Amino acid sequence: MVFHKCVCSYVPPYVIGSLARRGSVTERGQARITAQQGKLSREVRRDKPVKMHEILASAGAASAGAARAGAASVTAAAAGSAGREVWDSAHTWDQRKTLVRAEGAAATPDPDVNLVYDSAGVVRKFYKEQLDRNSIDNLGMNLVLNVHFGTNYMNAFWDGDEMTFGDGDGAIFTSFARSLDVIAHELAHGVTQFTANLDYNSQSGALNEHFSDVFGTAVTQFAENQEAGDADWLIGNEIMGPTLFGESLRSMMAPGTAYDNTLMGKDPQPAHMSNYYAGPADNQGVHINSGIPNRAFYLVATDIGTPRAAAVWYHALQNLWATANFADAVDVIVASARVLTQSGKAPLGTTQSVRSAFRDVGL
Amino acid sequence: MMQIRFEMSGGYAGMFAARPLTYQVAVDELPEPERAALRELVERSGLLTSPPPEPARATPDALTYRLTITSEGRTHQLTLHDPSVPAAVRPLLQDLQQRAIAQRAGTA
Repeated sequence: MVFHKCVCSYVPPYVIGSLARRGSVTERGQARITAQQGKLSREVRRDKPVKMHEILASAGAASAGAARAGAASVTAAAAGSAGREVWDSAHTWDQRKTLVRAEGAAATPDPDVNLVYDSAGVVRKFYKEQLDRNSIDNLGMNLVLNVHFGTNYMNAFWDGDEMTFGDGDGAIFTSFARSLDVIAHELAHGVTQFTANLDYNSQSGALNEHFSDVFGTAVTQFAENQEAGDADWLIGNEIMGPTLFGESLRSMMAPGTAYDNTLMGKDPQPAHMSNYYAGPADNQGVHINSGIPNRAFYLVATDIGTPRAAAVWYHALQNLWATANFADAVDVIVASARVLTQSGKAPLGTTQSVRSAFRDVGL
Repeated sequence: MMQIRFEMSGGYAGMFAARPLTYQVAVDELPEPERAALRELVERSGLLTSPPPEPARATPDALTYRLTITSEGRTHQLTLHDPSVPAAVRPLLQDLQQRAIAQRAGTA
């Protein structure tokens, strides 16, 4: 049964979301807060059995949503069809402001819209072909992508049901929507939410970040038809603006070496547990300590190939849990390596390769 | 007397992860019209009169903003996360972010 993974809510999130996009500023603020709380309550409800009437109620509201979007010139894909929906925030701070390109529609004059549309298609294809997963929730959830969020906004994020991308400031960062890496990373946060649902702090949070970097880089190599040995294993190099051109945000091959400049300082990622970051910043180092398992994945991928390493990690992600720490992850990834070796999906020696890689990083 | 301390961390980039981007300013020591402009951004943000509630949970890759504003003897401490930052607060955050980046790029 997969229904226990379905994240449902009595008030469908897009109804509250729609409120958040209409109405006065105060109403919007309230609706936004409610939407956030809804996301939380959906989180809390994740382990409860889902009743059919909830799913049916959701489906009914989804058609209403589609009809609303249909009032504009672009019609959204049917809910649950894994369709892409690209929305233009038009430099406001609103999500789902205007639907500008939906599944199957022709290209628009906006290159960012087309790039994000194409990239999301590549990511969807990767999950389907390589991992036999039907979109983010494995139930054909539509891929909602907001571009041109805010002004000079230097970020991209996943907030529970959609992805949002800023244009960068043009100096430090270019548009986040133009990078396949970024889109695959954000979409993977969605996949994690619907599987292990790793808590976003400390070691479970670093694992959450790690899985996003793993699938981000696996998708890039898939799209560019690269072997592990040819890839650069860099994260974020595509979005560095003129100020930081030539540097990147993370290196899975050599964590801690991605950048060293006045603005950002030196890349703080450890490549080994001996340099583990135990401070409070960054939700207790979720983007920092992810360097440790990242390096282990790189070692395994260079040994057995990225697609097979990604399959092992994906199998593990479905068996991990919200509060899992690094030691738990090692146990589960090793167990997954054994399962996939037994079924012939990973080569003999995969289990030893995984153990050896984690030993190399001090785990 | 108005003092502002701004801190930004998190985000996809993980930049400012171990070393958050920070900026501190004694607003009254700024020259005009900068001083009046910044005061107006604070006023329009509504933060001093109706601070938004703390967000429910961490959003993956969201930016976190911490603000400490001291005004007329009272200190207001606020933590804001994307995407739940009220639109009225955005211009203030943007102004402070630009100041912080300019300062770090120039002096660090």
